[in-house]
Amino acid sequence: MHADNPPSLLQATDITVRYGKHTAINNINLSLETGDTLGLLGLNGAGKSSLLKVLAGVEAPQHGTVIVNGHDMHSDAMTAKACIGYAPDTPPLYPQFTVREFLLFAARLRRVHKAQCHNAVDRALEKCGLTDVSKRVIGNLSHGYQQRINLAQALVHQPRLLILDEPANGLDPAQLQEIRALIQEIQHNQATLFSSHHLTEVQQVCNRVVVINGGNKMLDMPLSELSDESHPTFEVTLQETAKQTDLQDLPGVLSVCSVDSQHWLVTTESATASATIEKLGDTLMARGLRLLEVNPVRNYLEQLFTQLKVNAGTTEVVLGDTP
Amino acid sequence: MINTITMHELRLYMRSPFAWIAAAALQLILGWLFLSTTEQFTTLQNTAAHHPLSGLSNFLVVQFLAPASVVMMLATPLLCMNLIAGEKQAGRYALFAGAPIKTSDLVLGKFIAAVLIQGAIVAICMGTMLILSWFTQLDVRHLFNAFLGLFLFIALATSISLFFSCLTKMPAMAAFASFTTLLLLWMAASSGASGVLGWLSPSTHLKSFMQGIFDSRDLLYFLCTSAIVLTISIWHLNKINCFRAQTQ
Repeated sequence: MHADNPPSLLQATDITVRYGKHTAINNINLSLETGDTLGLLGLNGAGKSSLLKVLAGVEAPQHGTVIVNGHDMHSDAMTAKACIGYAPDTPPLYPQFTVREFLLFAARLRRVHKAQCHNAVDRALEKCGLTDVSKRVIGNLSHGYQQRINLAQALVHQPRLLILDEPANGLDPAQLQEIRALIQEIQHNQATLFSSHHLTEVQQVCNRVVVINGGNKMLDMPLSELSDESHPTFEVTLQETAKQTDLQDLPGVLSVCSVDSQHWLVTTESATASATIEKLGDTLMARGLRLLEVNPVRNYLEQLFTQLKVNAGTTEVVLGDTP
Repeated sequence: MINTITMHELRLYMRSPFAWIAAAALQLILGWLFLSTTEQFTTLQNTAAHHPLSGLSNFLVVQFLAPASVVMMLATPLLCMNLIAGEKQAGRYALFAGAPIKTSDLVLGKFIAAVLIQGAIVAICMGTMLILSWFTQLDVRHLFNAFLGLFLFIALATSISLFFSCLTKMPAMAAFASFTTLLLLWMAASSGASGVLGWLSPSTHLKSFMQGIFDSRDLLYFLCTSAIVLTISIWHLNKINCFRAQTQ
């Protein structure tokens, strides 16, 4: 281990999760550095929650390894889990407890020293704007407050890695803004990984985005590169089904993302974009593939999501502004 | 950590209306059973006035404590069905599975809390029985042995209920499965089954405690079977959320 090359805060390798015959996560690799805020995007049922559960150590995968802050989730699970704060999609709350009582219990579960528990809880209460309701019974609080308590229990022990599963679920626009601000605020010396199907949320908060669909990772890119106009992207429609390698090694092509086997998002070098697209038809024809259509993509993420939505026949993905 | 989880679970019981209702119902049933037993004893003593009956302790054990163990066999699955299944159903299991705690701490913490709650209910009955010692002589050793047997039986029933609670997300299903198992084990002895089945039945081992006999083999039976069932519960939960070594 070298000082100039610190280990990733999170390193997940070849994660595969199966429920019976259904493969929820298929061979996904993921890494996260300190200061990263990674948005995990995908339609409902894409495998986001399953992946987050594995990364948080809540469920074991059929295959793969997870290393958190240098600690293997298999051989050193206690230390690895101590570095993580996990807020599941369903807030794991006890409605009969007060907010403070619940957070004290959460702090003890995360091995915060008994003498420091009250300070840790006060800090989490303040950070999540819960100080005023700390003595109130959780069951009497609104959904927005319960979502905040969920967040507070995840960061009560000041974890290095924060994993949030759909933290914006069921929140009104004002609460959404607060949660976003909170996530941005806790980025220092930490990494945050959160799932969402709100594109805007990811674009506002994250510096990196991972898109998964059907348990497969389709995209893993810094957000800055996605909106970088020096790398124009085209949606390519083929008549036949193709493999990633058929398009990946074309001259001038930087990256290829599969929407399905006939629809591809191809990112090119800006300088050679026109030439690449002009030659695309001929090059593909030489490989036995007929090009039906090429369209420039203005918003890569939005385009990818629109296609996923069309393919899935669903309207669950929220594009543009969140409610 | 076991202590943290036990205290948390006890607080949960204290704030659950279901637990209070169940405890009140149990006290009502056991209290009524106790009253009818003492009344029965008094009536029998009056009818045999010239030959006073001896052995109130034995009478209480046969007429009150032995039926109380059947009552607890019905109550334990209901009081323990939520231990793990309830957490899973409410989506709270992730709180434990994602925390840096051992599965054994979770299982033992919840087990101890459930046994303590039921022990407290039974201890109140012990208290009411000891009140009789102000008025008559009781064989305290016999009663203590019977209570120890009842307590050990409750511990075994709790471990079985906890095991079924680990298997499912539905508390009602866990309660039904544990009650069925306990009843089958109970009947294994009363149906005259001999050999392994008869030995496996908790009622076989409870009998000697109820007779006032302290046999270390019976004590070992209850301790070992409870420990084995708890170990299987821990193993099952570990199977779900513990990472395995990669073979590749």
